[in-house]
Amino acid sequence: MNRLMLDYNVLYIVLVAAGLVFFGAVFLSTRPAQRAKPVRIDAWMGREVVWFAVVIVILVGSLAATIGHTPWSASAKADRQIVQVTGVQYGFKFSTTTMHVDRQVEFHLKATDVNHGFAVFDPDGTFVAQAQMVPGYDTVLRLTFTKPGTYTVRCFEYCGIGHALMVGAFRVRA
Amino acid sequence: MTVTTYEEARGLAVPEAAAGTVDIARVKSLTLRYLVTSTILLGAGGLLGVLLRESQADLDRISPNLWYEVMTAHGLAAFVGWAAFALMGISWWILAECGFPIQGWGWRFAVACWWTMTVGVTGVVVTCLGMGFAGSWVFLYPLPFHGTWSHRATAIFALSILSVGLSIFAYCFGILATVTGPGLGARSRRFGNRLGCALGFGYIWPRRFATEQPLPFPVIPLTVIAVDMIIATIPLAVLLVEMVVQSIWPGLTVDPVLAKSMLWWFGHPVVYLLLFPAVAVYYHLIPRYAKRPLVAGHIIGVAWLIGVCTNVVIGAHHMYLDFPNTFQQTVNLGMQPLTYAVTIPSALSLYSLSFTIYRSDFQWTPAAKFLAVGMVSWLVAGLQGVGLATIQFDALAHNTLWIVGHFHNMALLNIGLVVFAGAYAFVPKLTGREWHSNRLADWHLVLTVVGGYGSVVPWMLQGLEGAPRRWATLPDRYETMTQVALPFVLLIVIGQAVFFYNLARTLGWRSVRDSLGTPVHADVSTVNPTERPTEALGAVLAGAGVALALLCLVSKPFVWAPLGILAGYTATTLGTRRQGWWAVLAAGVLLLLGLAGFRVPS
Repeated sequence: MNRLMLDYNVLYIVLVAAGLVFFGAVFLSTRPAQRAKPVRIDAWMGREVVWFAVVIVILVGSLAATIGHTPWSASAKADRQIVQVTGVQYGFKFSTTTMHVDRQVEFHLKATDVNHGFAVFDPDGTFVAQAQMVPGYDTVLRLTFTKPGTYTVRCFEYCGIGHALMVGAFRVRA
Repeated sequence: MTVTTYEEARGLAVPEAAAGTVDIARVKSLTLRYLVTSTILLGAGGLLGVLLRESQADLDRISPNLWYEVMTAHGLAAFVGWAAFALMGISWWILAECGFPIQGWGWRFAVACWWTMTVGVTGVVVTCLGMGFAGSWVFLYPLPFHGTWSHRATAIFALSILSVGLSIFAYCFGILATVTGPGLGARSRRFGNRLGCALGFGYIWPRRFATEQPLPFPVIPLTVIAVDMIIATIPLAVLLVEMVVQSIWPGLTVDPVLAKSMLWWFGHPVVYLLLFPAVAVYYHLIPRYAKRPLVAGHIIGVAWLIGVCTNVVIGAHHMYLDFPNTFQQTVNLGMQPLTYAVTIPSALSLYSLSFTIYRSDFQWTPAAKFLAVGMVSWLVAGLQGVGLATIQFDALAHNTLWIVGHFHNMALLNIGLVVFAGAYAFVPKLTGREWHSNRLADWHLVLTVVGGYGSVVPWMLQGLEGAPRRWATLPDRYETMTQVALPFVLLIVIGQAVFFYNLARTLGWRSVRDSLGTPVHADVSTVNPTERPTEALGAVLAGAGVALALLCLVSKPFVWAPLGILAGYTATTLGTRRQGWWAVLAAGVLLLLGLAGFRVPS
């Protein structure tokens, strides 16, 4: 399992758990014993502004923490290997299928017929990265592989009835 | 035709301008027409979804051609034909209850909306299942012209979607004609000012957007989505017309990235064509069950102002993985903060609704229970949405089954529950009949929620492992989790069967009542005085449980036996305790036989 994906989901589960506790408290507060206590509607209306501010702060913080991490942000290295990949119903054509550990690979992704997806899985089956292959466009995806072995590529954009058959592979040597 | 005033329909004080001016029976009839048609589409679209899942689980695998045809029809029938269509109908009724008469052009648009949606969804189903169109429900250009189906199928499919688009236009114009009408009580006669009032600007600038009485909160999200969907649908309509023309003159083509942008310009706001009317239902019903006004102040106006501005421009976040040039990369970067911003109305609405319920004398009716669980799902699925709005996370989750889990979480377990809540709340008002059984309504909720999450979570776990979406046959490593989900899919099916049965009995569908027999005794402990036992349904389920479990002797006992056990257990709760437990026992024995390798010779 991709480590970053796992981290995000752990954070998500923690937030959902907190939300469940919150809703549990709200729903249980409608029991007779609870609702006998006085509640000031006006005060909760006023606190909505505070909640609004909290939401803004959380969103801005999340934005600041993540916006720099994009699939296109890796800068090109001088010794990178350039690999041309073309997606066509229902397969991938590689200019070469041999790459090397710790050497940056610059994939140039194209398609000749319809939109395809280029999703890379490492030799253990762990998801690595993906990008779209769009007809008439050259999309650059730079990756540096750290594990030797056979990597699998799957089409991640529905491209017709043979979509599930559109699988490719390349080797990364130590 | 009985003519009733709004006071009688609402039981609340209403603006003078709206009172007694509308034929309420006509609105009831129209709303009911929407609800019944959309419920039929739920049945059709839902069964197509079951077929997809069971085939992926390799129970009875269908051909890839058929699988993708079914996938295309399922998406459109369930998402637009059921959820959006039902909420459109509920919108008319909510406006009526809020004191906004549907009349004149509003009425004409509401009727046109029903017809064009019915024609459009029928066309989609026909072109998919009858003409082999399998371009998926997002029909990503230029795929519709590179399939195994004919260009004629593509043209008819595009025309069908165009009809759905016209329905959305009609809905939006109908909403705008209604909310800027006499019910608004606006002091200005200028359309722009009246529109501002309906958008809730009066909560921010009360002098400039003055109304005779406070604007009912449910009007705001309905107006917001009406404005946004008009803007969002125009480019899609252009693309669809181009597809029709291209099917005749294949030399005419469109740039794929431009086409993708036009699609998603519409494709994201259309999600809110479901969510925002659902918010209107929350705003309308939760205060009634809590017996207090919605806990919302002027800041809710600010939130919806942010919503109306951002919702219509964020579609490109579906294109985070398209980064062929600097321009597209810059657009993608801009999408993340804008998409974050559109979550603000949801965050504030959940706050308002929660503190409206907090320590209130809340009436836990069936509709209220659906809404309460829907609110929880709103948070659960909404947090997923924030994750997906984040480029770093979306780059991992995009086009995996995690996404499928997310939108089923939102569409079925938030919006879907709101649709059901609307049905449970409004059908008695629309028909003058109480629901046949509140107990069945509770079972409907339990089965849908347990089945729904049992179905959604496996998708998300598969997505965590990188399982691709829209694969007719998944790689072997993901198959087990698909099979684990199947019993939960059955729970959803049973839940909807319970709903259909309850609805049919409520509406007085004589043939159903006759076929399932006369009730034996009444359960006086339930709230609803018309409650009747459900032995007939229970007996059918018990029988179905045994039948399913018998399949253990053919193949995959770990799939069939749980299905049989679930059917049997459900039967025990429906008045057929003994038969249900026998079914569970039989399924258990058959499971052991199946696991021991016993098979019926083929």
